Amino acid sequence: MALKVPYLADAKLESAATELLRKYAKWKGTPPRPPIPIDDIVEGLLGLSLSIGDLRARLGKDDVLGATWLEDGHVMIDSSLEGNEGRFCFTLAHETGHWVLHRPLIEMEKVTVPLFSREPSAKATPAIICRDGQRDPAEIQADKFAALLLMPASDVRAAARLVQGDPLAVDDLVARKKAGELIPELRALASEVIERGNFSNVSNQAMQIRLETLKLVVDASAPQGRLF
Amino acid sequence: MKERLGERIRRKRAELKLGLRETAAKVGISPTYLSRIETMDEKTPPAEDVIRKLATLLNDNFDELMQLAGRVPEDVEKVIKSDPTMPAFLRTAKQHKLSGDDLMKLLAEKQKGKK
Repeated sequence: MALKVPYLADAKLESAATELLRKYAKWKGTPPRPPIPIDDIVEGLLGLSLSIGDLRARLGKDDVLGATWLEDGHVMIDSSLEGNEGRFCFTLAHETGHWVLHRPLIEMEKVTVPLFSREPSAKATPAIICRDGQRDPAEIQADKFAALLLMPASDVRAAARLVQGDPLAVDDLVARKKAGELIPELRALASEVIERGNFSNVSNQAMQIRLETLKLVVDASAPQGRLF
Repeated sequence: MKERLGERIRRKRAELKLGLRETAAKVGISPTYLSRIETMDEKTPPAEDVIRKLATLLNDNFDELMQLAGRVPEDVEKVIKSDPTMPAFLRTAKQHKLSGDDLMKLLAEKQKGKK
């Protein structure tokens, strides 16, 4: 059962992520710089308990990556992500998105979530279960929130400026992506931005998407990309 | 209810504001393993050297952590194994309901008497 949530504009998601970073800066006494310390935001600032374990076996779902038990204030990440820093941190930031964006809705009883138990003997409590490739609105919102949190626009723009002045124009970007083609020039730019901006807990794929969202990569074949 | 080993480690980590993955890296174990210790999913108690590193990092009492883990420190085991009168001594202390603290006090008084 998917969590049904109201529509949230991108600007709202951005302001929620910025607000969380601002709270973290106040709590820590210094503004966070990339790599954004997502573990400390979750365990330190938000006071959630974090565990890493075999979620797939526990919940009987073979594509589950993370889960959040709202009543317990507990986040669990599947152990298959251990050692994959980019995916681990993105999943943790995604669960943070559910906590920040969707927990208040659940508390106001505007939406309901399925019941799951972490321990076989424990009482079942509402949990948000996040699976690979889920595309319902709540999951998309949490994904966007994760990207905004781990890759703040100002930091990505500053790093991209160090790499190249103008946005990267890629021929047939949209069509090539639609065809599932890998785009080496986009991959190379993402890699350089990650390195120059110290985004060491972000995957190349996540940075590629963020660069496109921020229009730091444009389709040279699209009308707005053409000079004449 | 008595605090369990995993609960104790998690509480001490929180007090010191140490993250799960940060703690695991400092102790030299995998985050999944530390998480299993904390959630008591790990049925085999951690090795003595892991408990020692955790005790040092978390500013905690090594012997108390070992006791919570249900382990006897290697040096203590050697003392018991090397002296055949030790088991009888420990049994007697137990019969007289003497705790470790009581025995330490007796020793301290004996030391004073010598001086």
